[in-house]
Amino acid sequence: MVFNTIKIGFLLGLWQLKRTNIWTTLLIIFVMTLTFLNLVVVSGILIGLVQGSSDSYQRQYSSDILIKEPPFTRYISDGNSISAMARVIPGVEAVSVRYIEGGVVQSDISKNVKPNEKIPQAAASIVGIDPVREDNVTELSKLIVDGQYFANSQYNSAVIGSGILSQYNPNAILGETLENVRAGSKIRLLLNEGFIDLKIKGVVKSKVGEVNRRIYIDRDFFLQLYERSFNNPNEIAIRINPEAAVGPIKKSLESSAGSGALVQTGEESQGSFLKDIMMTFSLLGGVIGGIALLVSSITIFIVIFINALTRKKYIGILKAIGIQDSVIIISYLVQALFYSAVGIMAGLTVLYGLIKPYFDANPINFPFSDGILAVTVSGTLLRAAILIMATLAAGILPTLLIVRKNTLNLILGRE
Amino acid sequence: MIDIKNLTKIVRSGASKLAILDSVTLTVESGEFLSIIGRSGAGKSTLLYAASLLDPDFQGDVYIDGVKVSGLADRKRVEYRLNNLGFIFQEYALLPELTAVENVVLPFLMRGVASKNAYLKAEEALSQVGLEKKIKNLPSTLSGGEQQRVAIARAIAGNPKILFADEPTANLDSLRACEIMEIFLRLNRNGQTIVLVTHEADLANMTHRIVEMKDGKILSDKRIDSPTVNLCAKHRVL
Ligand SMILES: Nc1ncnc2c1ncn2[C@@H]1O[C@H](COP(=O)(O)OP(=O)(O)OP(=O)(O)O)[C@@H](O)[C@H]1O
Ligand SMILES: [Mg+2]
Repeated sequence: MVFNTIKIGFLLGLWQLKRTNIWTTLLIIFVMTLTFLNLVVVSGILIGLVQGSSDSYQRQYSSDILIKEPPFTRYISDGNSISAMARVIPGVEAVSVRYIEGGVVQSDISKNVKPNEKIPQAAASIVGIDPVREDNVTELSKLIVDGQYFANSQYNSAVIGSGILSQYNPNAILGETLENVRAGSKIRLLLNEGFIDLKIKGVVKSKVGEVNRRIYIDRDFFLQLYERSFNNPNEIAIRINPEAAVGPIKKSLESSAGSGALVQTGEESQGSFLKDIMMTFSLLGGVIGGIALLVSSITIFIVIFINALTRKKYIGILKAIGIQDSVIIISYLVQALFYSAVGIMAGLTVLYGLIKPYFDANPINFPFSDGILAVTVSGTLLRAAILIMATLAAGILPTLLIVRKNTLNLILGRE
Repeated sequence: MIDIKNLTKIVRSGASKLAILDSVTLTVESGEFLSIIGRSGAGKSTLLYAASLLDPDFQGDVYIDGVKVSGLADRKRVEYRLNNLGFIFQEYALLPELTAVENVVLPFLMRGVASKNAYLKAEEALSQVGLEKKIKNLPSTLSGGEQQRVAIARAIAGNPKILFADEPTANLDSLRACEIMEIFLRLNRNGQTIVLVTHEADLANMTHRIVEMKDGKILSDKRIDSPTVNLCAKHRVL
């Protein structure tokens, strides 16, 4: 009995779908597709803006785990054993040890500067790295936009962050950036006593502040310049296998570091600022998504209502020839389901075939991030499921309203 | 056998109330072919809708084969109509999105007949009305007479206890109308009880009994001892 009801309802729904004007069908599916994309893409872009910034932070700077000096101390205390230990933990793919000092650099070193003329200068972080190992962790060399990356043991050479150069920051305040410095130029790094001239090998461009205001030089060269100990770095960035879990690796690093270093996951190291923005944007995305869902439900309701309204007479005829309400309702549910399922399928195709690849290849250029489209398969499926539920709910209501009316009045068009 | 007792239907017209059916009592025997005639507005359709339970909103009682069928709940009424009553509308009332055979098969499926069997029976019903060649046609590709024959096939397909027809030939030319009447006569010869509303005297004279209505009441009720036969012959000559 119940099975028969469902069977006939399906059949009736399929018959009607089959014979509905193709353009009407396409139009409804098109509306469904847009609705679905609206649901996924709008919040996806919003969250993607922050996500993009967080992603680049991790990719270009912190990597999966970042070990720093504990608060109020100058160095990590036993860098050697921590990095040695990190390299042998299963799942760890690359480790880069960084040494950092604050510094001031000057341009225009070729000119003879008159005694009381003010020399243009800018503050920067001077970072000593093993270029190859750093590249293994953050792919720093890929961020080069001018000149080239440097190799191990290239003394007196530097790779400079674009944030220090005026041509990349047209709106920067005087004194924050150096003018006319590019690959091949020389800059002067002021030291406690005296100075040293560095040749710019390349410029790295990044939207991550921790990268674009740094000047990278060779580690041995750095240790020599600042008379620092090899055993006392400031940062150890660790990239792990995507399959490996961060938690246990972080734990074993913590136990080896003790109180001599602060071990954080890439996410933790971002601090609460980005996380708060991300939460806010998530919330905003949720609200906008909710509104989109409401609008889509109403759209679907109207589409199905009009669909059922134009068929009022036929619903009456169906009842008159002995078809039960339940069968009629199922037939309209089948149609609603078809429209939303095909619409979602088309939407998924457009999303993963067109929009997502497009945004991946052309991130939205925001000052603080390259906005990507944050869509996850589970999030997308969840939205698809929600949309289908909304469609069914929006589909059942108008049919229920009509089917309850007096059969004869429906047939004769009396209401 | 259908027993209609004191059927009254009152409707509002403006501020006042109007009885468009006024204590109608009528009995139709099994196997009878009865026609209801009367002027436009006499209440013929109203009576048919009530008797066939299409419109359950009336006072009085309807018994079919001794069972009270007025006052059934919606679900039960739809089911009762499915299994026991056939109704033919003047405007055919086919489902435009369904082919001829799909229109006819639907009530069979609803009765729980297995799909293959249901289609066989639907095709058989369509061939009874001479439409075996057009079972896959959509209503829009059929003539008025053909559409009405599909509607008849749908109505008779379940062997209803009573077949109601409300001016089934009003939209057809006289030859098509005659052909429809011939179908009714054949069905009736095989024992089908038929209640036909018409305002064509020619057609009414082909039935066994003519009930005339006026202002919601039965004016006269007379038996036709020798119904006209072979009326269509003269149309065919034309
Ligand atoms: N629901 C209703 N509300 C108000 N008036 C109604 C309603 N149904 C029918 N009537 C009126 O009742 C009268 C009888 O209607 P009915 O349709 O039964 O007439 P009929 O005999 O079938 O006429 P026709 O030959 O034109 O079909 C008409 O005057 C009609 O306007
Ligand atoms: Mg009428």
